[in-house]
Amino acid sequence: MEKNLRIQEGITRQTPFYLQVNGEQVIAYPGETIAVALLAAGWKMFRHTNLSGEPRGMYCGMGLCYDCLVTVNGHPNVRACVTIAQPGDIVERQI
Amino acid sequence: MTETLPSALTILGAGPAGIMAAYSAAHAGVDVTLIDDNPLPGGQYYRQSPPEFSFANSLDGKSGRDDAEAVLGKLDHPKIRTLYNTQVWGVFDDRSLALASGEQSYLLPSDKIILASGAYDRPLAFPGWTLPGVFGAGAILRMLKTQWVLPGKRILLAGLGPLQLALADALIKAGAEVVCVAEAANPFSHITELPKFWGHWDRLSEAWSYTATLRKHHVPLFYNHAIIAANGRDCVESARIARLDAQGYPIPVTERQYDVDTICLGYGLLPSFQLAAALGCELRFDESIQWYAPVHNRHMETSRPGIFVAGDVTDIAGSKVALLEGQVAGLTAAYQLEYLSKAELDKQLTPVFDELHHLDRLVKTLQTIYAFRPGLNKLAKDDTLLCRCEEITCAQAKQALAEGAADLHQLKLHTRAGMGYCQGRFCSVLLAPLVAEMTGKPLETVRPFTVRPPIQPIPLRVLAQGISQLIDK
Repeated sequence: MEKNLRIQEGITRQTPFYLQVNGEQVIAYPGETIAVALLAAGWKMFRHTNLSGEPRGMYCGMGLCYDCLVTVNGHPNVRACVTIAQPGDIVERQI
Repeated sequence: MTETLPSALTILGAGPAGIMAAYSAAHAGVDVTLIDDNPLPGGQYYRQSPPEFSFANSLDGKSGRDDAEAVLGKLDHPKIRTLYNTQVWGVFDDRSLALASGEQSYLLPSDKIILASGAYDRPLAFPGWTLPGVFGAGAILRMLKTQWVLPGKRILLAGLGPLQLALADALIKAGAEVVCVAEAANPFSHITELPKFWGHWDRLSEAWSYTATLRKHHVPLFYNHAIIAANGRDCVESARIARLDAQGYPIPVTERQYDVDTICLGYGLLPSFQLAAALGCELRFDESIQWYAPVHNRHMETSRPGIFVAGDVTDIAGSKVALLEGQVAGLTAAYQLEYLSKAELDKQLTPVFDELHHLDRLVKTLQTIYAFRPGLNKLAKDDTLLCRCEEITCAQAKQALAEGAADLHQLKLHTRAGMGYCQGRFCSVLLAPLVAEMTGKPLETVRPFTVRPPIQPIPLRVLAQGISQLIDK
């Protein structure tokens, strides 16, 4: 786990909460996207592709490329980069 | 699909161009509907941090741009109705826009439309470009300046244009280790262009301060270099760059390798022209970006009367030009809706046209220096994916072209390239040069994929609900 990717200087975040990601607890702060919470935890790979099984993560970061797809609370193919994390979210990396 | 009250003027995109278009038209008396798929206005340039974050300097939460509060404040106008978190997924009955928000679909009949849908990062296909840890520059900018999280620890930036210098500066100041910046252009080979920066002192001092940050932190800045490969198993572990020859082809003996966990690609922007195409607006081939953009006249009107474009969706020229083009489009729409006389329109437009003219020389200079070079289209190897979504390799595309596919549409039917989630936004610009090369046609005659609804993927349940209501109607 990498703890120092969140910038601290000049910014105050609210009380963090946990996401459950493939059974593990991942910290998220209110307002963060699911993608950013995963990346801040040091997880760059979000899924394997259906065809060749190659690894993918966030790429365009603006909701256009659909490479950052994850399953959220049972809904598959949710764009992690534009989806705000909510307390108690159960996220499955599609691997 | 619920049909809502008709809109006199609908503006798509709440970035610099869309905000100024909305304000200009609303100020003249027009009832404006402004739509954006983000939760907050601002676009990429004035992108705001989530309201849950608080800042020692409140401007930091509003993109940090000096004029952010003034520009965003223009949306506090009784004549502007804003619909955020709303996607436009289709066009029906000539100019009724199909919207999706949450679980709902709406049909919004619109009289005049201004498209201010901006641009997205140009993809560059090279071995390893689909690995996790390879990000578009926009993704990194958004992480850094609105989510306040570094994308990684050791970062290599590769791209084309001055924006990556700004990004390198921001990453270093936020504590990341930037190992090098590979700039594909060589500004010094355009020495005759440099005097054209005369008078644009703010731009020059900005560029100077960014390169000063790089020097201070001993970050090498290689001109005339491009990324040629990313390596790693589950995510990026290293990156290779090489010097480019005059045409932009990498020279093998000049390769350098860096151990990195993150690669930032900033090879310029491509206009998000999909909605313009769906509305039947004519596209032109732009020499500087080597791709398509909607045609417009001086008043920002497209080939279709009453449909306008403004900002990066048509001229990749940055926020200052976008703000001005937004004013031109908004005022002209107000004139067409008879809220302004011709004399009032001309009076209000004169200073805006003057400013656009002043900026035009700078924009043209930057477009010349940072023009996309053909060699950058040749970095893919046979097993490199050109279509990320459907996982179509360069070799598969070549084979389909050898078997007779003669344009992008036929290539799509042969291979499925372009049929995936991104709707061809990323692969079209990578496949087109291959089509041109294999068929012997000039690139400017290879047309992009036909745009069809849904323009952005939406959940089937939302689409099904929309279609059943459309049939009922």
